Amino acid sequence: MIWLQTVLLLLIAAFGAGVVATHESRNQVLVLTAFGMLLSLEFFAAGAPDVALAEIVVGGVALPALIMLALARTEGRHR
Amino acid sequence: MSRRVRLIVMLIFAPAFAALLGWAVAGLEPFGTTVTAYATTVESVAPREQQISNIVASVVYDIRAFDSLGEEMILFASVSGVVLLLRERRGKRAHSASRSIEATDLVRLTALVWTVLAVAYGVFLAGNGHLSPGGGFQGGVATLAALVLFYLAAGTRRMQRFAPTTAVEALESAGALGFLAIGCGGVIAGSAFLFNWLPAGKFGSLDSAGVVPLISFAVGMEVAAGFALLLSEFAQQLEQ
Amino acid sequence: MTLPAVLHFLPYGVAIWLAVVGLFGLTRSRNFIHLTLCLTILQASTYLLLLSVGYRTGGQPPIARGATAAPFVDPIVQALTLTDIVVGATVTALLLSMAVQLHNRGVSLDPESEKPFRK
Repeated sequence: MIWLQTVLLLLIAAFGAGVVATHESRNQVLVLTAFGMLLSLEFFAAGAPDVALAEIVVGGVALPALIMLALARTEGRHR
Repeated sequence: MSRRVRLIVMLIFAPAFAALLGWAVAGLEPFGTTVTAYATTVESVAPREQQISNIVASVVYDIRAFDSLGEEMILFASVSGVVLLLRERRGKRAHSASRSIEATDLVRLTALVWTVLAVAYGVFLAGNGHLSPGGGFQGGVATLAALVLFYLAAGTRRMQRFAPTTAVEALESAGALGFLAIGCGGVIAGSAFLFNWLPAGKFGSLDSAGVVPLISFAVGMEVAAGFALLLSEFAQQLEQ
Repeated sequence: MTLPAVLHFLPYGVAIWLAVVGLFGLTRSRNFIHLTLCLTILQASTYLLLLSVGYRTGGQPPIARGATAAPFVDPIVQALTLTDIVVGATVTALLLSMAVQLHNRGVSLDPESEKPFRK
């Protein structure tokens, strides 16, 4: 289990830097969702299933929906 | 402060900040060996006294229920803030021809199936929180996934008809007030606010753990309704 | 083959890295929505830090199954992290609504624009 946690932690560090480094907000949402999924896997591996469930539903359903709606409003008219 | 100066300040400050955090973390016990007295007490008391399996649920909805009350009030206030900011709409063109893309039949069928499954799973998570991992908050947001799917398949106006704003606001208030009312039940029972005044029941059965399933359900209702309000406010912004 | 010292510092190290990276993104951002997502990374570092403090090697998830003598992972810290996730999501929603309202009023979404009130 410690090796799974090590791999997940390194991926989390990489994806976290990826979220900040992505300049286009539309791509950033996808990277953020992947980051949330990796984070929930790490929580599950660290023995916290409640927190993992909360991170899945928040970071995978609620937050991307709100961010994409906000992006559609602020960036959708400049065509 | 120009952008370039800000970059130089960050390049100096960020390693210093990281070093400070590293020094703070180095003072902790080695990773994986921290055993606190509070945790050991809770782990021995909670399953025995409350007949509850999910110890995190007992901490969130029973032992530290006051913190959860504060958290629900934060959610309520933040949703009120969003509604306040976004509800003032210019031009009131809410019934103009929507330029949204019509979903294909495949999307609609898939969304219908998954909506039913999402609602079932969300209610299960919220109601079973004291027996297995889950709880009110997780179940509430999982139920919200059903509304997101419905919105993706059917569009804003049908979503408004399916979940009218007045009903959703009423559900949210009912959840918050329900939490407070259950807490006051503890006072009426002659003990402290948010005291667990229902019988603990049999370990592993659905009506065990006293007040925890009720509080969990109230929290789930409030969270689902709150996030549904957020979703509908953001979606209506696209109709401008 | 194992490097116990590095592995034992890795969770805290990743939490510190995420905090620094999120802060760096906050100061270098050119779009308010990008800024909000960098704030999300900063908050994620706190989740990781909290759970790493509570972890116990060889510990079980804190679900009691009758009479078990297995040591549990700390449940108090998990409750704190749960609250943290809720508050993080609501703060992000509020910041996004502020960005949308800025756009509605014709204010530029660039934190560094010289003429913010003309798009």
